[in-house]
Amino acid sequence: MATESVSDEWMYNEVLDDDMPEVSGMNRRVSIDSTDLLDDVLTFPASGGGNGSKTEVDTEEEVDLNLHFTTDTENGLAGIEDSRSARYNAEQVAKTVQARIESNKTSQSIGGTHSRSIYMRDPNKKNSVFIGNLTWWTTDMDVLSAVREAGLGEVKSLKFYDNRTNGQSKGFTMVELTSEAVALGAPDKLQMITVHGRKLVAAYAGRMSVAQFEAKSSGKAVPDKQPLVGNKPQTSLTGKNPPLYPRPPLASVMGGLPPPILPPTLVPPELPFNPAFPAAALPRPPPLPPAAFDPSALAAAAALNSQKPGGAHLNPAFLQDQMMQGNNVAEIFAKAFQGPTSRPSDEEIADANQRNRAISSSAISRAMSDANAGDYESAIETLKMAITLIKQSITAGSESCQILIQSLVDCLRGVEHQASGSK
Amino acid sequence: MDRLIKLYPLSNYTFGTKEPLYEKDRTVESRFLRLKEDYEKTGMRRSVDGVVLVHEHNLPHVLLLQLGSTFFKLPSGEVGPGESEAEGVQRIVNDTLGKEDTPLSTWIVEDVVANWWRPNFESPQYPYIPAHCTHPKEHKKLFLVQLPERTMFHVPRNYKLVAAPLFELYDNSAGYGPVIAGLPQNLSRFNFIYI
Repeated sequence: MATESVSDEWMYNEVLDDDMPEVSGMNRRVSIDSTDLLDDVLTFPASGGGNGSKTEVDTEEEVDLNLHFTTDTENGLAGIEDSRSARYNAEQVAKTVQARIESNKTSQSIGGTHSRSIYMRDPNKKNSVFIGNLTWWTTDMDVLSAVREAGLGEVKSLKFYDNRTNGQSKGFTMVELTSEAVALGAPDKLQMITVHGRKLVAAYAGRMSVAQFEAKSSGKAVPDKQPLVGNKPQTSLTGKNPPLYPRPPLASVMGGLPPPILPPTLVPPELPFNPAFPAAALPRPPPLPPAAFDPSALAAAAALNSQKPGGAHLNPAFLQDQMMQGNNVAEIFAKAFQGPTSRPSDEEIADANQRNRAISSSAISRAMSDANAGDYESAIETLKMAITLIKQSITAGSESCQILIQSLVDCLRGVEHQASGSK
Repeated sequence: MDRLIKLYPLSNYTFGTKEPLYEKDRTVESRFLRLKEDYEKTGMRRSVDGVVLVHEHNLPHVLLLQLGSTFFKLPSGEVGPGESEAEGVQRIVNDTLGKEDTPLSTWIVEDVVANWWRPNFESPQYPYIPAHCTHPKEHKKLFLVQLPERTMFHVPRNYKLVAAPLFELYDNSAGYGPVIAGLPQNLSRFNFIYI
């Protein structure tokens, strides 16, 4: 923040002298402290992605700060506090996760830090569960009634993870239940509930859950720019060989040329807005491509996500694909590719396969070395993360993926066995 | 259909200073803490901002209060219980830029310019209510204030009053925040008459 203020100050001195008639006022300088009051501007640069190079650590601090809990009130709502989680785009999540697999610093990993903040901030985390696979339009009230439907009683607090840039829900929440006893077994009960046509996914609030839900949401919470009825389906844009890293609409608009047809849903979930000053003077760089998820997969999955039978904006191209009762992302992705309009190219499949093999082998080798060093926890985490990643890839349903997953699961069992033996 | 708004040149107005006007909250934390306390007592906060315009070289300029060297704000405040929004705008603009003896009719509340909602007790605000949010914590409404041909502004000593040309604000969230940076779009529907 300090450096941003400095650069802003410098900019403004320039800008103001030239452009802004000073009409009054004696004190040119007020203590910097007082500007802290006025966060709307001051925090904006941070929320824009920090010059495109915002680091993981920053975003996690943000998560950390937001883990406040409130108490229930009479209507059960004043206590609701939505939360904003860190701004991850698909690329960042993938990177973090990859780094998690490849690096050896467990404690600084995404899972580690998140959970640390949860543990530190919320000693009652045993009361809390994560609920995911929500549509972006699922409300706090919907979640409350789902919890009630699951027989879990009242909610002490509830916070949505949302995209700070535009406020869109990432499709998962952390819900604090009344007691640990209620929370015990709650995920199983919640997974029986369907909200807006989707089966809930739930997990205990623990080491891995934030990362996993983040990863899932980044794979599907694409801005739902629904093609209007009558527009050409997106396949006409992406064609046979969709560009690997399509330039999102916003970027093209910034570049001066409006997109001829709005390419629906090809945008990464969070546009890396460039807040670098002076914003007006510099063309914004195109957002970084999502690394771990194929853009066409995103598009297809998002198209599915955004379709709701009977909904107002239905693209006829996707009507046939709208069966999405499945409760995991892999399933949704797999379904997406049964559609005639969104089959990935051979190239993409080969690419995904290669990536999955790399993930699998590096995870196994790292897990083995961790296990040999006695760090079973880290080994288990690594393997689970790799499984999650592969399950989310576009080829998740393929035989080769199943084999990879199976070998990871075998390895996981082995490590778990070793771990229990060592205690 | 056209909303005619008369803009007078900056040089029509005179400026003096008055005693400082401090924020109710000293820090960002205390600001959101108070928002939360208020929310628990009285529900969603209703805030109003005054968009006060002049022109120079036939381009609208927005009067902004400058705090420090990098922070700018519109005259803004909270609507009290039982107070109408228009009354709130007049009171707040007068508290900020007028004096006790300035007639409130100096500040004619012309029209709504924009709406912003704060879904959480946090800084982000959006010009819509995110779909998953049923209980926004604050609703901020921006009102266009029509100035008389001539008047005197009394600027609190801890602020500087600047007239920001629309081109400076346009597409400049990084410098002014999304609310002020959105004003050029919000104001484009008005038909300004430069006098």
